[in-house]
Order: sequence, then structure tokens, then C-alpha cells
Amino acid sequence: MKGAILMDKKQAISWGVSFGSIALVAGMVSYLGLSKEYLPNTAKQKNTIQQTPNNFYSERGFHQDHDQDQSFDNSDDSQFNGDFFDNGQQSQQFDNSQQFSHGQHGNFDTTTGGT
Amino acid sequence: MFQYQFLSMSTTVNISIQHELFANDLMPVYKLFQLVEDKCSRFREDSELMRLNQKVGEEVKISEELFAILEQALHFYEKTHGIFNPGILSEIIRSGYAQSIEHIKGQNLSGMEKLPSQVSVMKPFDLNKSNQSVTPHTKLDLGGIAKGWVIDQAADVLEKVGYGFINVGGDIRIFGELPRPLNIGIEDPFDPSKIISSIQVVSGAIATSTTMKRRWLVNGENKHHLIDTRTGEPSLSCIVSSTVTAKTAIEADIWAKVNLLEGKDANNHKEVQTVLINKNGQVWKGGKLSGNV
Repeated sequence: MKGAILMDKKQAISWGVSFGSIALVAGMVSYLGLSKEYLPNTAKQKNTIQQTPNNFYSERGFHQDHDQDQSFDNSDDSQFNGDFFDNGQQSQQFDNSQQFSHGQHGNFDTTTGGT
Repeated sequence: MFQYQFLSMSTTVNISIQHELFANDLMPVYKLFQLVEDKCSRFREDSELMRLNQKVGEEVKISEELFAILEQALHFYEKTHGIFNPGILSEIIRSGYAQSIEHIKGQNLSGMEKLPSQVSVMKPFDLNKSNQSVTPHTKLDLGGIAKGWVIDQAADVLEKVGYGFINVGGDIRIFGELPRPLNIGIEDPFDPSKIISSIQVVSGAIATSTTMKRRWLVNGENKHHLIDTRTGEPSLSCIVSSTVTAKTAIEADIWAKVNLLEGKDANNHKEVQTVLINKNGQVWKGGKLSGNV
């Protein structure tokens, strides 16, 4: 009888330890699972850093428009011709940029238009 | 970016800078604008300029700041062969622009006597550097050039604090090293709420002159503020808006004005990058790159 009780006691201890281990492991897994979401994502951070220059003027409504036609006539020797000034006819030589309608500054960092 | 604004020279001064400014950073800039307005405004009878204009023909000692501005004015008067001429105050007033623009913009000034046009051919003034003095030969107006000068001075102050840009009524000067080019929209001169073109700049200055904003009527006749010094009358150029880039705000302001006044001859000034808009709304870009991408 005494031996059976001893066995039960040992078994109980063994189960207790096993149960405790399982609980500990489960807790760690759970903890690790939650923490994983908050671990710094170095890849994301690099993307953010890369984007910083483009977002740098974005406070207070200034934006850079990546879709905007940023073509810029770099020709050194562009010449005016008589048509441009005299009769208003369209000429292939000239840049007839599309109009951009916008709110405050639209997609620009700032605007110029004289006073 | 942090933005700061204050009113000066009948327009809004906008400063955009990459970090927050404190009062002792911003106050020197504000005071610069106040100083130039006190010295160069033709709408203040007690300004140094208006007191100078009472002494045409006399040698007058002037302040260091006014002397510096007049030096620049004389330099560009000579460089543009008189197309830029600060000695046209009488012609400006005769066209009806006798008060600050907010009082006359869009108004019909009736009852004004129609006086014959006068063409100013004389050198507007002589400078004596050793004496820090000037002898004006006619009444002077320093509106645009004084604005350019103070913008450049302000940029020099702000550059010590950080990087960004200052925009004073469309005259823009970059200071410090920008992380990327500034993307600037050029307003449609016929509808400033719309953008008709754009320019990208990484350093230097940009200025626009237009005949479409400061307009009024005199006895029902259309007038604007840009006097053609060859005729003494508001310019009849087919160019209604001229945007120019240059190293400094003073240069950009001068060349924007000169390009507009010269119209089809504007191409001669190849050291600046130009965007011109004509009376039909056509846009032209050209000239030589200067401090731009």
C-alpha cells in the first residue's frame, strides 16, 4: 500500500513537472509570438529611410508629385521664333505643359507667379 | 519642414526650414525685412529713399544697406543697358501707381490728368564709395531690387541655422543643401489658382515677373506696374509672365523683369534658365542651366 502511495506521489510529481514544463513552453511561445510583431523590421526601416527625402517637404500640405511631368527643356540654344510672339500659333518647338489644377500648392513644394 | 510666415513689403514672407526655429533665429530675419522696408519703401515719406528723393542733384551720405542696394542697382542698370532702370519713379507714379498696390489693384482711377510719356535716358545716380554717398539725378524706385537684396540677406542668415527656402511673393531663394531638388509650380498668369508649368531647382533663386497681377485702370485704360524704360509706359510685351532661375534672388528678379520687357529678344540672356508665358498662354522653357538639376 505504502509502495502504491509512493508511486502515486512520484507520478504526481512527474506529471506536475511535465505539466509545468508544457505550461512554461506554451507561455514562452505565446510571449515570443506577441513580441515578434514589435521586433524592429530592419527592411522596413531601410525603406522608410529611403523615402524620407521625398517626404521631407510633406508637412503642411506640400507634396512631390511623382506622376507630374518633370520634363525640363535643357537645350542650351533654344530660340524664340516669330510665330511664338506674333500670331499665337502652336509650334512643336515649344513646351505646352499640361495644366495642373490643385488646391493650395497641389503636388509642389511651393509656387511662383509674381506679385 | 517647419513653416514661418510674416507680412512685409505688401506680401507674405514664407520660410520653410528643416527644423524648428526659435525666436532668436527668426527675429534677425524679421528685422532685416523691417530694415529694408524702413529704408527703401517709396510709400513711407520718412524712409531713407524718400528723403533721398527730395534731394535730386545733391550728394547725400546714405546708410551702408542703402548703398549696397544702390550698388547692385547700378550694376544691373549697366549690365542690362538700361532695360532695368531704378530711376523711373516719376513714370511709375504717372501711370497711376502712386499708392501701395492694395489701394489701387483692380480700381479705375478716374480724373487723372493724362501726361505725355517721358523716356528716361540719363544715368539714374552716381555713387561715391569712399564717401558712402549718392548723387541722384532723378527720383528713384527700388521696389524689386530691394526685395531681392533682402531675400539674399535673409538666406545668408538662415543658412547658418539649417536648409530650406524662403518665398516672398513668388521670389524664392534656397539656402543650405537640400536633400532633393525643390519642385516649384509656375502659376498660370491668367488664373493663379492653376499651375501651368514647373521648374526643379536644387540651389539658387527663382523669380517671376508678371504683368497680370498688379493691374488697375486709369480713366478706363489698362495699366500695370512693369514700366518699359524705352517708352516710359507700362510694357506692351507679348510676354505676360517670365520665370527665371539664377544664383541670387537679386539676379533672378532683375532677369525675370528684363526678359519680360524684352519679349522676343529675351533669349540673349543665356546665363539664366527661363520659363516664359505669352499672351496666348503658350509656355516656353529655355536658356542655360544655372544651379539647377
